[in-house]
Amino acid sequence: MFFDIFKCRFKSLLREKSGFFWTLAFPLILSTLFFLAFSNLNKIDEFEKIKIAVADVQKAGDGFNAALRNSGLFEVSQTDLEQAKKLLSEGNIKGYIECKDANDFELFVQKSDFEESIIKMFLDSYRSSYSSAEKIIASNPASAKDVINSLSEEKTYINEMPSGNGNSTVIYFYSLIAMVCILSSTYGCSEVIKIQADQSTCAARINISPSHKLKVFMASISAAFIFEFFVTLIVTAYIKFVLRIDFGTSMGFILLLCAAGCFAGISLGAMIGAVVKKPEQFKIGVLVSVTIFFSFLSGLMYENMKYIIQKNAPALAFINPVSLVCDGFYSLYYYDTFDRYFLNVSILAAMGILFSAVTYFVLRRQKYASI
Amino acid sequence: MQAFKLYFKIFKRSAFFMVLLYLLIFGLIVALFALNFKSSSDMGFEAQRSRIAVVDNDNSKFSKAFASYINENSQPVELGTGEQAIKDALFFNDADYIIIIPKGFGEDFLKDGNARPQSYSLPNSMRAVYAQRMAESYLKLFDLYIKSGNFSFEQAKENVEADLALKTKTSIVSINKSDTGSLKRTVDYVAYAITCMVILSVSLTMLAIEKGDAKKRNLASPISASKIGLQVFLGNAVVSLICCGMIILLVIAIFREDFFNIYGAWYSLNILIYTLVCLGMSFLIGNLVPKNAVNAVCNVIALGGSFLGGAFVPQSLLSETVKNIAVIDPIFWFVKANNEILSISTFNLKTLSPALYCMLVQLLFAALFFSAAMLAIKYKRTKS
Repeated sequence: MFFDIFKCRFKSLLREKSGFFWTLAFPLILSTLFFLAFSNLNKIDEFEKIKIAVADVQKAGDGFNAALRNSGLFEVSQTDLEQAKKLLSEGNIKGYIECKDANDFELFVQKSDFEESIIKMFLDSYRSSYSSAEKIIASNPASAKDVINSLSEEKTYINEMPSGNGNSTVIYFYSLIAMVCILSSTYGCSEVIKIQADQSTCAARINISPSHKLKVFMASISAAFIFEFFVTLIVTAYIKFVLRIDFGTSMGFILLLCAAGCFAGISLGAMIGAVVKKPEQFKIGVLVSVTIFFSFLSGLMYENMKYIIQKNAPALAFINPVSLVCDGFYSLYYYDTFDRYFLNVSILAAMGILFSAVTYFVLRRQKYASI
Repeated sequence: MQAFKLYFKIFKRSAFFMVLLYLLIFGLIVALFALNFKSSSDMGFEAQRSRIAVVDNDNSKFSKAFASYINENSQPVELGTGEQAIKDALFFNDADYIIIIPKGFGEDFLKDGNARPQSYSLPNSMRAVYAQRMAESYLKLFDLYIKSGNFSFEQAKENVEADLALKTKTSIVSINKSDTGSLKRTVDYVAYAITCMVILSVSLTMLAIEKGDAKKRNLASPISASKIGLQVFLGNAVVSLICCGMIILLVIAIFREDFFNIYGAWYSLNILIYTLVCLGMSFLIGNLVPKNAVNAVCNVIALGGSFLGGAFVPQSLLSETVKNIAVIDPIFWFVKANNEILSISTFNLKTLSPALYCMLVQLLFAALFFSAAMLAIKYKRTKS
């Protein structure tokens, strides 16, 4: 009996074209578009040597020339003023320096971006060092040689620590999978509606049948869970193996997280279906809107939103199932330990159990005097 | 003009709400854009500031002076506690550079100049390079003064800060003052909004007219089929132009005087031409796709076209493969035309020709869609 109902519900889910499109085809299309559009997004802030021109460099002297060369920041063209202006107007360089004296420069740029700011900072820094050297030598002329040696010495004053190589665009893909998991709430809701005799004609027929209502419900909700779990796995596999988005190395943990997400999603939908006494369209509309809003908060439309919520309203991140699934993937990808991953999975499981318990207590012993 | 009137009655019932919804969403996006970018001044050079977090575990005189200099010359970031807070801040670009000052740093640095703070940053980040150079400059000059032996801590601090306050004269050579790029980025986004608005309004209304009682009543009326077709098409064109007009008005409402120049005029013409492409596309969809699939088709075309064409992510950041594929996407040509308009400093036929070429390609797309729609209509009529 259980298996028959399970089989029928599973077949029925497979035949729902609209559900298939929004839970499977749409995420596949969207992830492909993310992949095509965001593949170079991380290069925006990548440092490359800045192209500049220096006019009348002989006026600044060898010290300035050496400092420019040793800085490792620039690709320098030494030209006259007219040529420098032309290079800037044609967009071939980010700026040009007009040397007026050993310690007097003027910088010409087109914008106030970081590349232009780095050129300015180099010049400011050179002037500052020059001024410091003058003051120290004035206070002790015998130290001139040491000061000049110290200034030309390539020495770092800050120890750089290894910081990992995170690509924040992965958050878009993780949120998308999380959205697919929690969108399963629509299936959970539909399954509950299908056993509530006052909600659909199909449920009215089921209610007068001799089968146990809980058994029917368990069979159909299991079918919905298995269906949604497979859909989520297809989306995840496509993103991981076809688009080659990094998820860390633990396949087992990815499966567990997807299962926990689908369980939380299905049980959330079942609870809403049981508790809210409104037409099906209304309930589904509310679930879809809430899931999309939760997805927005977990970074589907803007990846930093996840961090903004985590930093300013951490409680909201803990009650948002989409954010929990997304954070689970992020923990697997970025952290060396699994503490945060297990915290996310545990909260999702607890949510699922709580929602299921509420659904059970609302649905049990439900009788209809008149339908 | 009964069919024309009927068109608007049906439009009001079937698509008006969706059009308003998209207009609202687009309005929010444009407002966010305006908030983000309009404040950037083009009056003179303004150096950028990296987002730096300083964690001072030393709290000595020197570490406080160092932290204070960094905070004054950057956008200071407050960090949570623990290693995960540091990793999160870097991953989500909340901080470009994190400096951890260890205990005893001040005393050790002033003694022999060998103590070092630690830094965390994303590898090869431009903002981090900028922040690192700034922090290094302070420590280098302080080391120089202290090592010379002729300056007390207070004197060294005063001199270092005075030296670092020396600034190089910087001038902006302005090439194009009318549009700083934010207006153009907003106009790029228009492609998504217009595509959704026109496809939904035209396709849903046409499907409603072509199905059920409305179609039967039209067929039974004394007006010829060609006249009805013409009036429905006129209705489609008017609705599309209203969508186009509303979007342009919205952009004007937010950018105001920044829009009223030659760039604004050319952007408007480009939007109008792209609206014709959408009209053709919607006409085709309305004749090919069943009603329950219009929403899905609309989302796929609008989102897909916008991602591929560079409406959401600048075309300069798209890979060559994507750009090669995107030549079959009208939004690619719409955004390319905007790019070409933005790059013009003197408007004449020669400088305008690349933009005009992109507009011509869009018109060819529109003609292609209209022809395909006509063929679809003819095929359906012959079949029925």
